[in-house]
Amino acid sequence: MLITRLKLKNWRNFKNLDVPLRSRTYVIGANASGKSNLLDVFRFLRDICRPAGGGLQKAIEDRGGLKKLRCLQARTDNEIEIHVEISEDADSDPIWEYTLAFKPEGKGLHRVLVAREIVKRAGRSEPVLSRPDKADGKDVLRRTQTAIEQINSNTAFRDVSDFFSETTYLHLVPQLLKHSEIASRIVEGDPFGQGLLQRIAKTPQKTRDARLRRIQQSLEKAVPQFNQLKFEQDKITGLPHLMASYQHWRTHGAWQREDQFSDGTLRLLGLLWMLQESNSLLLLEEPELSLNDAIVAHIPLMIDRVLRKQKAFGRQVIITTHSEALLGNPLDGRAIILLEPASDGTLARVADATELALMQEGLSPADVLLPKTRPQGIDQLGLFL
Amino acid sequence: MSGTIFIVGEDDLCCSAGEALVRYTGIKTTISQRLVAGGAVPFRKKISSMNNVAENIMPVLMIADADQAPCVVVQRNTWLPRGANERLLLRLAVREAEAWILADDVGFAQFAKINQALFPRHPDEAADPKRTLLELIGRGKNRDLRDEMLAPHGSKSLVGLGYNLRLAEFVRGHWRIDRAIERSPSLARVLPRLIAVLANNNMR
Repeated sequence: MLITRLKLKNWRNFKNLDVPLRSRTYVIGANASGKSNLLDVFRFLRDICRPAGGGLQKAIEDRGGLKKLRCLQARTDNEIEIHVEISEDADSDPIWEYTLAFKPEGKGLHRVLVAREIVKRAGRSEPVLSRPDKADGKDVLRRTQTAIEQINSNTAFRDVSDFFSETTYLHLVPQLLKHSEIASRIVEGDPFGQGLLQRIAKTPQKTRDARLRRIQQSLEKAVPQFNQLKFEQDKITGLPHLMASYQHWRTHGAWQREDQFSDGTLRLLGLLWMLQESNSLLLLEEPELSLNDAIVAHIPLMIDRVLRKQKAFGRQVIITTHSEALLGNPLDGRAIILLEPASDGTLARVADATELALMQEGLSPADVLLPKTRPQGIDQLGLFL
Repeated sequence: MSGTIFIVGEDDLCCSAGEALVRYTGIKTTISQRLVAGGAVPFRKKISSMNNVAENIMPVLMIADADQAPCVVVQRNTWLPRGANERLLLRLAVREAEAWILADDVGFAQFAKINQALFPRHPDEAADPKRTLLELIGRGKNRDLRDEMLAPHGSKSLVGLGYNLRLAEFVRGHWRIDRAIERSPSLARVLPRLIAVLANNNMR
């Protein structure tokens, strides 16, 4: 399953947004145009559906309250609405539609209340769920929770809830892995990859070896001198470690632990591991960081190859990027979302007919779309410094 | 002492083809610089500075696609600066460098598991060698190549993500220039002057 359409109202810096999504979707835009805010919608839905300690109120609170979530440009209408369509594959009709709208109570306890929650399933004329219903009218407290977060209420659309809750987000910060002393606590869902080693440790040995072998094959090509990758448990402390051997002037090379790996090696490793870990939506935040352009250029192909080997080619991956090298690839022009800041919040769009035609003639998204994400007036930046 | 050469390609494929040509001459030469211009416009912009390099430092081999120009020679002459140095070799594949790949029908048929009879007899004259090559791969039996070199069904891109990588792999490891020059006169014409310049370079 994958999300094929996303509609938003008043979500962070998007006053209105309506975009199609495909199995690989690239989100491009200038700094502060809202790339991460767009990914955050999927994390928000995941946080609502999380089996342990999830829920609408918690998800909102974790983001600093409704005030921080709502679009600054939302002046008269203070309701936030999220609508997603889920299909079997990118070109087929949706099998599920989920709509959630919520807003402040506006009086009394000033709680956040669900304004609408609708679930539709293909082939049914009536929605599977349509709130607020009679019971919600009698008991306002019910409206502080979504139906999708409750096992008792979501039986008829458990698939949707499971799908949301399995979303993975990765923005690996190498320093957190290298310096365990600054990483005091692992944030829920481990967005920054601190728990990577524990994840690897928990994987059954056979699966782990197979995955590490695949990672090793890719790293051999990307990192010169890189030789071998293995997993080890420290004999004294019991802590899990990754070890890599580098070719060296000594005959047996040198074994290094993850705290000695380069930032780029660690990020690549994290990316390749997460690709193999599950089969649900994967969100990647700027995978190009710390990596050489020549390697970045191969990231889209690398993703395809790993997923093809995993027999999970249809897995949905949404990637935010600034990278010219990455977008220099012959990517499917329909799979790129362009964010353009405007006076009334950020506008999101896909390539228009002319731009698609240009890309079909062999120009890359870096030629056609990337120049449009350059902040206006940036050419004068140097004059002020 | 072996001489050195600077190779400039409009894209990665042109560059790899240039390297293969230098190796094919059998004249001991070090490829000291390799530059992928990334498009016809940046490629043209490099020509005048490359002329200076040829004049003062080392020979330069520049390879680009002529795309749909009616006459390669006319186009080349308009691109070259007046009084260009003789060590600057600017070569244009008649339409696209893919024609030079197709010219080695035996090699590419093996590489992509394609029936050799399907190849165009005169690849230089093929109207759109890239499309021809993509069609051939589509009819071939190498699943990996089909997956990575062809655009997915319905996609709005021309080629697949692994297109350049796979072609470069072919050019480096499998492309036989001796076979290719028999079917591609434009490729054959590159060699005499390249050999002359490289030989001259080694004598200095």
